[in-house]
Amino acid sequence: MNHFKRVFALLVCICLMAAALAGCGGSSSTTTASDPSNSSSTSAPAETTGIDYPTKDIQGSIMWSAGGVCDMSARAIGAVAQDALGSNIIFTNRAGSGGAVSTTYVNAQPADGYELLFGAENPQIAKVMGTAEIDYDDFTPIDLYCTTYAAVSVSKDSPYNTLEELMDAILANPGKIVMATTGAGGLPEVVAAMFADVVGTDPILVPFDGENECMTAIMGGNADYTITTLGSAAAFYQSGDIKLLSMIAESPVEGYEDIPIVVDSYADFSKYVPWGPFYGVFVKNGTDQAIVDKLTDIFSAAAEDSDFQQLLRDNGCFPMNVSGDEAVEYVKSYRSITSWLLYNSGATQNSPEDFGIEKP
Amino acid sequence: MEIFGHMLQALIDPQLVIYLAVGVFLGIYIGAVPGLSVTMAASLLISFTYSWDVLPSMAAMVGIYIGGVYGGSRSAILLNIPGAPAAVATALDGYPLAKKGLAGQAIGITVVQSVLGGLIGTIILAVGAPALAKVALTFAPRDYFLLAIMGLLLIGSLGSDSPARGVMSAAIGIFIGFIGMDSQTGHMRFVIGPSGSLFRTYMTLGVSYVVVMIGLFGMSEALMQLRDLSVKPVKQKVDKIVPGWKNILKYLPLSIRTSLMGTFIGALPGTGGDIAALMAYDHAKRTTKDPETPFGEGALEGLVACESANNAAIGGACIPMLTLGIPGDAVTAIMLGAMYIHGLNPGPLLMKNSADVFWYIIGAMFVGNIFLLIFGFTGIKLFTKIVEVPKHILMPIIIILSVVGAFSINNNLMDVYWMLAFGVLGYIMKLYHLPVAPTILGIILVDLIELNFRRAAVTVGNSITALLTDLVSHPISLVLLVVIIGMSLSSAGVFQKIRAKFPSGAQAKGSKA
Repeated sequence: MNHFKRVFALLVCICLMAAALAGCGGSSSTTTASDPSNSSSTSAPAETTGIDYPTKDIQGSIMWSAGGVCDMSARAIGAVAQDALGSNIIFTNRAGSGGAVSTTYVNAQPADGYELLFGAENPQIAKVMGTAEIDYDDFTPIDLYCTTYAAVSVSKDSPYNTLEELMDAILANPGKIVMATTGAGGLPEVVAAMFADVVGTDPILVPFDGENECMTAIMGGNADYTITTLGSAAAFYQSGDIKLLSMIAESPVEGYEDIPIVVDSYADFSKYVPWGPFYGVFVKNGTDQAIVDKLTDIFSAAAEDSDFQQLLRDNGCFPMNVSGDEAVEYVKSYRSITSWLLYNSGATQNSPEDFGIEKP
Repeated sequence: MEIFGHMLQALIDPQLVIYLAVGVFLGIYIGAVPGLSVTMAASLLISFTYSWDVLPSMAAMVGIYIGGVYGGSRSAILLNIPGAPAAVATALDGYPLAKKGLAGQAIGITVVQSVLGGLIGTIILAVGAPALAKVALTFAPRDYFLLAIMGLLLIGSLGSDSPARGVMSAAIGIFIGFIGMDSQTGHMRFVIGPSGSLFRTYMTLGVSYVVVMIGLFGMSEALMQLRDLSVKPVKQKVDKIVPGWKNILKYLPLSIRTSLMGTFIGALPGTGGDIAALMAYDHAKRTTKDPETPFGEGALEGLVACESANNAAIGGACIPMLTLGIPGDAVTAIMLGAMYIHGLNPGPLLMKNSADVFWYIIGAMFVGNIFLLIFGFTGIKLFTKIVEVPKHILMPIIIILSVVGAFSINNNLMDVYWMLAFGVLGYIMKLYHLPVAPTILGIILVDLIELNFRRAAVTVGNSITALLTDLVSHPISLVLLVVIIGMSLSSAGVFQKIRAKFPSGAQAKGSKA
């Protein structure tokens, strides 16, 4: 009896496990399986209207976890776009490895237009940083809908009131001034590398977990300054907890016209700006051009939605709307500038040349 | 006066009350399922709330949060499988109680203590949020480092009669915690697998400690129990579920102390309810002179401490979230996301610009805890029946839940494979009487210890003397250092002998953070 129970329990285990695993992993295989039936039954209207897409729910993979700019902007533009598409976009946060978890996942799915990748700029340094072997070369940009600027900030109690004062202090006190960063390859370290090249500053870089933690570090007096996206700094600037010393931009930033821009302080900086993170939607290479065109039309229109744009502005981000070849160029140029910068500053030993990334 | 108006809204607006109540209810039952966590529940909920108004979505979030943190204790008590990392310590004394047939009583105590902790945390949030946030901000990397070292000293308390086994188990956890890309330099540690494979990409990210927890506790417990199916389930007594006033008053001093600890540890942006509960457990163990039942065998003090602390940590975690826009833990990070989507600007200006939302959330936390008190006592009879289900039916179900739980973290099948591997590891550990709780502690603490030590060292230019000077010249660091030295000395054999000669004193000076 006892023996029977044990065998029974084992069998139940195995069956249920198999069922659960099949249920978990099966979502992609069932989607592909349903495709032929869809296209065969609906092939007639497909010929008359060009394409018959979408005929079912679309999956959207978000590269970062819930709560950040990537998540917020993706869900917001998705909400506008799905009305025009006439099909739901079901979002899933697949965070991890600087976006590599999402890029690897979407790249493993069929290129049928039903798997969208909502990502930020991060994969574009994955190759030189060695975090992943794929970047946006493997994807077709549909629309880049959001950008933001990097900004230099210090605590409200900081003795430095201008970018020049801060930079002079770093030059005068080697090994003393601490800059909060987000670790190797993060935006703060990239901009720090730009400053190292243009001004020759060499602060102590202390890596924190994220940009919010960088803000906490300067407010708590655990770092002297930080360079983050404007999105992370905007609220603390408005509340008066921090001072914004400079915008990493080539012209004054809308809504922040009184903040000096970096090229006014250091003219040589013009070779690096405009430069900034971007957020966009991508599909896997090899997706039917008609589907790409349709998605591009819909997302370009959605990027112009005034509520969506207001949401971005409220969060220290800026609407943009770049698609087609222009988007491909934008993404490439970001990779070229940033990869070479990281290599030249010693942040990575992998030469961009090895990956066929041309010099800017 | 206006403040009370906003807070009262949590009580008088029927729609909000319903959202809150449903949130608490769902939170309890989602949290009670091993593998399904409050973080997951909140991230599922967030996609529904986009089309709602701000306050209803906040109501549901707060409800899920309060209910879910409490709910994690149920499976910890009944099955020895914590529903969330914050309930790891609950299993240490809760499960032995269930084995004695006292699961109902244990659940009753956790309800009351969770509510007590939750209310204390909320009161501190309402009264002292801005001031506490300022203190939390001044916590430097070296202070986080010291706090984590203090956490490491808890290994001795985590349910093992052999300290060597505890250290061994923690070392396994620390090793697992090292796997992945070093977030500060980008170097790979112990990352294997063919390049470009999903496996390698996954290892780069490091192993999620929730995956490890589900494997080590859920999967391995099921495997372990399947070894002997002939053990008859213990009949549970469910007549005296609601603890009396006497019981509450008896533990009140302890619950107040651990609630304060929980609130403060929760308020630090780098630490949350999991560490709070473990520290509170340790505190209880150190300060309770003669527990009626020894710790690890069903001491009520252990339940009281960790359950009041992890629910108090909710109020704590909301302090940096509401005053600075900085998440105190994973759930508050999701709540922040929800606020952004609703056009709010969480951050230092929230209190000024959206005072209604700010005070409503606090009001909802008060009311939510009252719902917890009501719903917490539901379903206890039904739940305790779970323990009485024959093992050849129950254990396969637990394995399924473990698989589903692991998959649902990131919708990644790789998490399931790793969970299964950790299930086997946990099974082997249990065969050799290695406690699994220190492994989880090791994984939780390794990042705090290592990253903050490096931050602290780099900040002073990698000079050891400068670092040591920093440790004794800053008040917070100095206090933490003294506590650590005190904790280590008090555990040393020599000092325990000395203490035996002087019965009073020295005892209470333990781990007050």
